[in-house]
Amino acid sequence: MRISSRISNILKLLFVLLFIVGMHALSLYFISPHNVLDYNKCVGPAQKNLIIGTSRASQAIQPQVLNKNLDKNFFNFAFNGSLSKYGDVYNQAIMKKLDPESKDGIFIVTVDPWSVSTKKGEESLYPLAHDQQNYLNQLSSFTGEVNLAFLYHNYNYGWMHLIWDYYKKGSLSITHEDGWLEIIRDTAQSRIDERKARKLAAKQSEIEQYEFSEYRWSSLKMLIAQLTQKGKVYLVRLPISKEFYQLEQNHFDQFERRIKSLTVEMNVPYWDMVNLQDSVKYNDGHHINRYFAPYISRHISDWIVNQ
Amino acid sequence: MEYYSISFAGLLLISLICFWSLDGTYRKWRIWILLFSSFLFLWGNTTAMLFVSISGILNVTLLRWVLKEKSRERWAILGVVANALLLLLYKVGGASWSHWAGDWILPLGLSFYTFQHIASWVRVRQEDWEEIPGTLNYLVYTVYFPKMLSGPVEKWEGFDGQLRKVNELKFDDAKFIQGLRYILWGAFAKWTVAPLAHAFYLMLWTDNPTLSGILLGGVFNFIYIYADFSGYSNFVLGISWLFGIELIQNFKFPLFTNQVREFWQRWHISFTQWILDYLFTPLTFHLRSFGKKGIALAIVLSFLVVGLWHGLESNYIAFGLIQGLYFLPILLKWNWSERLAQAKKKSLALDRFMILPFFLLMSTTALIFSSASWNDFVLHVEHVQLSSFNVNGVFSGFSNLIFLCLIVGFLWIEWWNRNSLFGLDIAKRKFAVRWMLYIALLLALMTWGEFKNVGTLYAHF
Repeated sequence: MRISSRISNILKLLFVLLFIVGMHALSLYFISPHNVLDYNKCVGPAQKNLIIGTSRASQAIQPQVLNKNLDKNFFNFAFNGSLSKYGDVYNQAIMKKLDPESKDGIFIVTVDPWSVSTKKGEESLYPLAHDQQNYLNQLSSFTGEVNLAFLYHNYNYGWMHLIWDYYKKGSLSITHEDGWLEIIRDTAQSRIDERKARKLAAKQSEIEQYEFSEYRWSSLKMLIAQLTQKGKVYLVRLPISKEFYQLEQNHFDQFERRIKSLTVEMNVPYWDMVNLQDSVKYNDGHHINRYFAPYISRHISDWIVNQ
Repeated sequence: MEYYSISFAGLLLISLICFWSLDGTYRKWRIWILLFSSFLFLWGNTTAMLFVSISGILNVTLLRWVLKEKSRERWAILGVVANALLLLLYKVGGASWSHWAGDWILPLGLSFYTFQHIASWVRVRQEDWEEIPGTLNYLVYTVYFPKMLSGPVEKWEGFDGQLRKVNELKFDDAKFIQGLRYILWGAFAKWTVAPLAHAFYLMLWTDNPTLSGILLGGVFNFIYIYADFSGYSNFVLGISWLFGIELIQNFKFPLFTNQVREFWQRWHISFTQWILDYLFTPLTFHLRSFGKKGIALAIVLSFLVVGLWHGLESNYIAFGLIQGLYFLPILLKWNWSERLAQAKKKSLALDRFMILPFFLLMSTTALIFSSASWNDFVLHVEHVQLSSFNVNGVFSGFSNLIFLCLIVGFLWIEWWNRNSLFGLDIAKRKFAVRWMLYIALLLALMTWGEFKNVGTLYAHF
């Protein structure tokens, strides 16, 4: 029987559509910790014990070290300064990641002046456009086997790029299944100094555009209150190198006073880890080197045990 | 609404199903589907939707009223001035405007939208309207969603003629498939070739004040601009073909020309035609008494406006001015230009060879276009070490080699099909060739296509 031209065209079109869908489906098998930044933070089971904060926490706190010392299963749900400053969007994402049944969890909430600040003038334009456009705001779920919405909203390339990246060697960032972000950088002192100088210059100019945010502060308080119902909250300010610490202290001179009054008000323990700032090495003065993440994590777990 | 989004795919699919499934007398609703889809395209951007509605209804109502009046000239001038003023305010207001209003205007290429209204009012003055435009058709003409973002700038007659026959349109497989070819080729150029070429340009031009920075950086920048805009144009042409409506072919292989007049006849054709009809021709009329010098002045002034259209920044002005000056040797028949033209006529090899130096000339000029300002360009060039040809290892490594192959492949296919409508106009090629290309392009698009954080360069203008 002769197939009419119309049917033949429909079959060809169907073939193309199936080919596209099939290649996309195949690509999902090639997602690895190496090829999609932060993807592993947005999949997996709901969690009972979380590490919360920005890129400092994402890179510095290693769940597997905490797991050993505290006999719990931790998950690093910290992202970066662009995505996970305290606010409605991040708070809602945390609640979606959290196991609704969780009751005796441990929550390590890292704080620093950046995580409770906004660009000058931005706060009056609530809801913050920056937060609204953030992909955390576009995801309905942070659990499950795959997160298609994450790839759709956040992956810049065609999905077959996952296969390309899978076979291409030399990824410099690995988001582990427990959420810890391992950043691979040249550890030669000269390169560290170069990166530190660049980062410091960038931060020095950036900080002038930022101010303390009442909105982010009240969001942090709301988050602590919500998490307290699910377990115990520990506030931590992670170490950074002296120059960065001084820069933050000078610009956000009320931060320490505020955080101390918050710990009293909300009855949560707080540790400013500034005393360890010379004991660790950094990638750029601002983020702790991956080899020192276990060291920092061990200190945090020891501190929690002693509380 | 972004073209690369589920919402756009959904809108397109539903519009197409509704459009083609209407039968008999119900086909009269097709035009409403086009209008409704165009407004849905602006979904979530209330201000843009309001702006388009108010300005569209105001323009068509006044236009229809004025065309019934005897004394039209004053109204025509008012119409041109009012629309041009709006555009000028936006261009002058620039950043402060967008700070005040947010980025509401971004989904709408304001210039492209306004040019259509301005053309209508100029034609009132020229008494060029044969009949009063229908309100519905005129509204669809101005807001039709495939061309809303960055054109092409359609002419009323051609578009209205198609809208009038929209009820009679029958689904044509060949046309639909050609539309899909347009879409595939446009998508490949815009989302694969353009970002890759842009990356090479940045690596070669930024912080690399060497001869290679100017020559090769310029080449990749030129390819980037072309792939981005022609890709967009082909993509939206394809969308429109799916509805059976043909838009102006905006690019006809301009990279393979060897002289400036032909280049502008093939580059951004709808806009060049608009400038020719509504600026250059009236200017020539006024300056004709000065002979060739008058025409030369009209060309330079027209290109100055082309430059200004991109923005009021000095680099755009310089770009427009230089393009205008490139016409002088041909127009004023300078000796060397005449001799070269004769030689090219005699020798096909020379004609072909001259594409290369002309390409380099245009790509170097495009560097001015892409600089932040004229001063920025001059400052960069001042530091160039002409004796150095350092490519910073840009072309080493397996990945970069693949990327380079994709760009060269794109240019090669364009050259291969340079006598067709567009690069992938391959309906008459062998089945195996067609399908090999389709699959290769789809694979390249799905693997190296960059879809996020990639705006359309010309959407800013």
